[in-house]
Amino acid sequence: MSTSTAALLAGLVLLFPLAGSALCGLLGPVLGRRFVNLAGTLSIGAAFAVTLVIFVEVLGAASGHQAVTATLWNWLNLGSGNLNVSVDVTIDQLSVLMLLVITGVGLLIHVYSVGYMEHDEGVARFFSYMNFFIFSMVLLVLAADLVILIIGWAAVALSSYLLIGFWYERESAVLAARKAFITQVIGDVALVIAAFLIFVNLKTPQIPTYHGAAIAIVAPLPAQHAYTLSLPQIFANAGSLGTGTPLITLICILLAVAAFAKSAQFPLHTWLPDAMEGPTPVSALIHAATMVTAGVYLIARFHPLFDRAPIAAGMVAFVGMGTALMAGFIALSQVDIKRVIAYSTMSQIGLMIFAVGIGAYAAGMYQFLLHAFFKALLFLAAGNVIHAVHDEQDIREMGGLDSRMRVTAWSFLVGSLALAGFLFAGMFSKEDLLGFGLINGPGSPALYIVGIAVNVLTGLYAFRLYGRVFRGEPNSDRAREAHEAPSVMLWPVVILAGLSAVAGWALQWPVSFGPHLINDFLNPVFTSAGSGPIAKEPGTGLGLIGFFIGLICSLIGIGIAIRIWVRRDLDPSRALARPGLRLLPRLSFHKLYFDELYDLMLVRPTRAVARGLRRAGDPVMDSWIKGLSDVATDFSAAFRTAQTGMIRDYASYMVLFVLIFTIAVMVAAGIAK
Amino acid sequence: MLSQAIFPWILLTAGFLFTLGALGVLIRRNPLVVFMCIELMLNAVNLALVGYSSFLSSEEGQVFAFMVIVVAAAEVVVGLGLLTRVFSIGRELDVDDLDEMKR
Amino acid sequence: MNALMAALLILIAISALGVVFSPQTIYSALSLVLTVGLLAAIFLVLNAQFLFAVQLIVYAGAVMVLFVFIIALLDPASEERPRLADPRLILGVLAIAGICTAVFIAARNGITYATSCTTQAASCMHGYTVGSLAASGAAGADPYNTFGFPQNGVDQAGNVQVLANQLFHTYVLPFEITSLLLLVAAIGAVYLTRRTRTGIRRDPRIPESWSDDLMERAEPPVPTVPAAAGAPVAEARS
Repeated sequence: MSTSTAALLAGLVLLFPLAGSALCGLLGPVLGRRFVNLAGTLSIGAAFAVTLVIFVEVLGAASGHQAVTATLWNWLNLGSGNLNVSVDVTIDQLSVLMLLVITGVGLLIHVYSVGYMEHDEGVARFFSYMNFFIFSMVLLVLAADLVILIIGWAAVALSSYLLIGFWYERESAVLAARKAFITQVIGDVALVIAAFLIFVNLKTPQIPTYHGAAIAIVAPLPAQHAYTLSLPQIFANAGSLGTGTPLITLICILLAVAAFAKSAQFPLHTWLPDAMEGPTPVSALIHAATMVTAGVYLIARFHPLFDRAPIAAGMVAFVGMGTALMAGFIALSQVDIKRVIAYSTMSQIGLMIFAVGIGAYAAGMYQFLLHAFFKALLFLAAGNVIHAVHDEQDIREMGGLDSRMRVTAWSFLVGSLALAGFLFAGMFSKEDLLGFGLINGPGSPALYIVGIAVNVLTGLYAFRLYGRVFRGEPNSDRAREAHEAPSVMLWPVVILAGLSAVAGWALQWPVSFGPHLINDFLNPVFTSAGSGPIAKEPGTGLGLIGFFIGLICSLIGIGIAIRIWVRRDLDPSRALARPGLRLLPRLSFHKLYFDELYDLMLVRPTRAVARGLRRAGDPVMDSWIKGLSDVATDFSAAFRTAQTGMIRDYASYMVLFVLIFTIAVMVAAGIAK
Repeated sequence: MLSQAIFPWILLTAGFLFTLGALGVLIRRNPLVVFMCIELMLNAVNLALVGYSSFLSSEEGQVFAFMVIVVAAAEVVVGLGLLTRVFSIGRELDVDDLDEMKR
Repeated sequence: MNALMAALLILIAISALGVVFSPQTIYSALSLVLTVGLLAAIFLVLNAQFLFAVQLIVYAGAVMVLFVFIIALLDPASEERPRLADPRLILGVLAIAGICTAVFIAARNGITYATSCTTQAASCMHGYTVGSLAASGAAGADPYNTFGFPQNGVDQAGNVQVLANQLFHTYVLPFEITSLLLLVAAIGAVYLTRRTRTGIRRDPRIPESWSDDLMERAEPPVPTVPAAAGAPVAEARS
């Protein structure tokens, strides 16, 4: 693909959602709901169409499609070229994969939203924000310039804030939006500092030339500062930052912090459950499929740096797996249907982060792809359920919905199986990346063992959710009166269910036989020049054993869950009543008390400092300003005494001045002469 | 005729008349006397002008002095008319009393 | 000539003192008349004959007459002597001392004057320094070693013609503006002294208009009496 084609196609993918956002936002209130529905959905449809074109081009190119970087326009050029920011886009397999998910799943969710927001007054605003989110996410994944990446990063956070707080009359929504945004700003700051460090320290080798021809000299010339913000150049020269040096470790740690903030990993994870205050399509799009995976994308994109900082990568892997375990534990006791799915997201992304932390980039991206399908499916189906029981989100009030909402129930079952990792999606992607964990990463088998424990937990909470919502007897009148969702909200769910079911079988098997399309597609990106070594695949025998162990653990979890919540012939409360275990449910329900901890550590001291400053500083500031005005008043009062109204006084002023002036002029003339 | 030596004395007298008029403006409280002191100042200026005109053999000084006389006449008319009005409404003829322009 | 001039200057100074320091207003006015007359004499000596005439006619003959009229009309009381410690008095005396000294020194000590000499005289002076050339004794440096009537067109043409020439050629604009000024002053004077509405306390000595005064002389003011008593009044009038 030539650069001009790339620029055109990328420009179109950026333009359509942006135009849709502007149209819905500006003309929507004027032209009405139908226009907004059409414009908001068609814009993403158009973007998806262009993405398909790009995909076909990338697939059809000669083997080993090289990344194409095109400049849309040059934005800043300062310091005689040292600070050059241009809106560059890069089209390679990684960005195409992300684009497919963003626009494809985004399109399905937009169609779903037409039905979900049918009775909402702010539909124009909603589609405007959603389209803007798609635009920012596209900008983020296409960016080939560090500044543009940061702009996309921040715009995504902004869209998230706008959409979480969409129902702004609800105080809980506003607070949740604020919490999400503030947490992500921490990540933004880390990202910006990392950008500074890269910009200042990146060097390109100097090639000595003599009359235009390169010569070889005994001692190599020192590298010169590159001062570039272009990602390809950064990656090409990543070696100049050292391998395993404190500098690159620091940069990678900062990048990881940014990724954690965006992907809701420990310790910056507290915003994701509260973000469920937003409408369900928002949760599906932003907090399942796309925005929270931006952190995974960041680490994958910056793999040349992470390959050279094993300490940082190791930390990433630990944090990812730890978060997966923690989130799975918490999801077991949550009673809000969306929160369970949110913690599930946190857990699955933890697995993705783990994968990119140990260098299994393709496996992590595979998990991202499949997770996008089944998580969006789960959220949309949950949206159907919430819609059906008239905005009730507590699963204790649900039950017995499978006979009342057949399509949704079957889709949800497919999604839960995909999540738990049996038969569909997760079985392939999760075991794929866990297999890498067998022999890669710090403490290699240890993290793998934690991973299969996560499998057990996943199976448990997934089928707990399914069982309580859809099986058994209805627990409330609302559940009894539930009915199936309208078709505009059913079709996206069904399509996603189909994708979740089929995609795993078709794309990549975690064992040495079967298709390996993802690896073939993505590995060129991760083995390009400038990157370090990627994770080693386990050999045939070990991989097969690992796969089966993981699968068995998933089945254990699913089985226990079915016995407790579907068939209702096992009761865990007696087991948990034993002294040591009594603490566990409480810890799980209160989300391991993180919110309270942060409140104590961060919020209260800040408020106390602010109160103290106000008490101490306000009088100072007030008196200072009042003092200024008092000075002016006193001065004017003093000068006013000169206005006596008596002509003689005014005349004396004049005479005095004339006297002084005359003498001064005479003296000056005398001196000048 | 006259020698150059007298010229500084002419200027001195003009200056003396001028400052004397200024002193009168400052000291006297009767507005009529103040007006007359102002006329004294104008005459001092005329003296200086005519002195220069004669000294430099340029009649421009005399033209200017002529203008000054005209302006002084007009000013006296208006000023005395104002004073008459002030008197006719019953105010005291005292510049210290006429202090409406104070703060 | 010098002696005459010196005497005139001294007399002017004395009469000016009289203007400022006389306790009675009318004495100040008469001193001013004297000052103006003496100044006219100085103008004559200084070769400004036209101004001599104008000064006497306009200043002494019209302005000062106006002053005297008003003093007679208003009859202001004399005021008390000013206090010696009055800061304005001190300031004024300082001003006299300072400015006079400065002017005198400047006049004596070689401050150059540039003049736009507009006469036709070839020997018109430019940048003549008072005293310095004479002091240096350079002979031919001072084209006019006397303050006489230089033999040039100015003198030959006569003062009035020369002034008129300047007035109506070079300075016609200030001339016209000055005439406008006079017009404005005249209008202002008429406006300021017209009759006002009733209700303002009038001083009976100042008639609102001349016609009022005439009417008062014609008919003595009559108190309101019934018509029965009107007959003897009518008889008295005829």
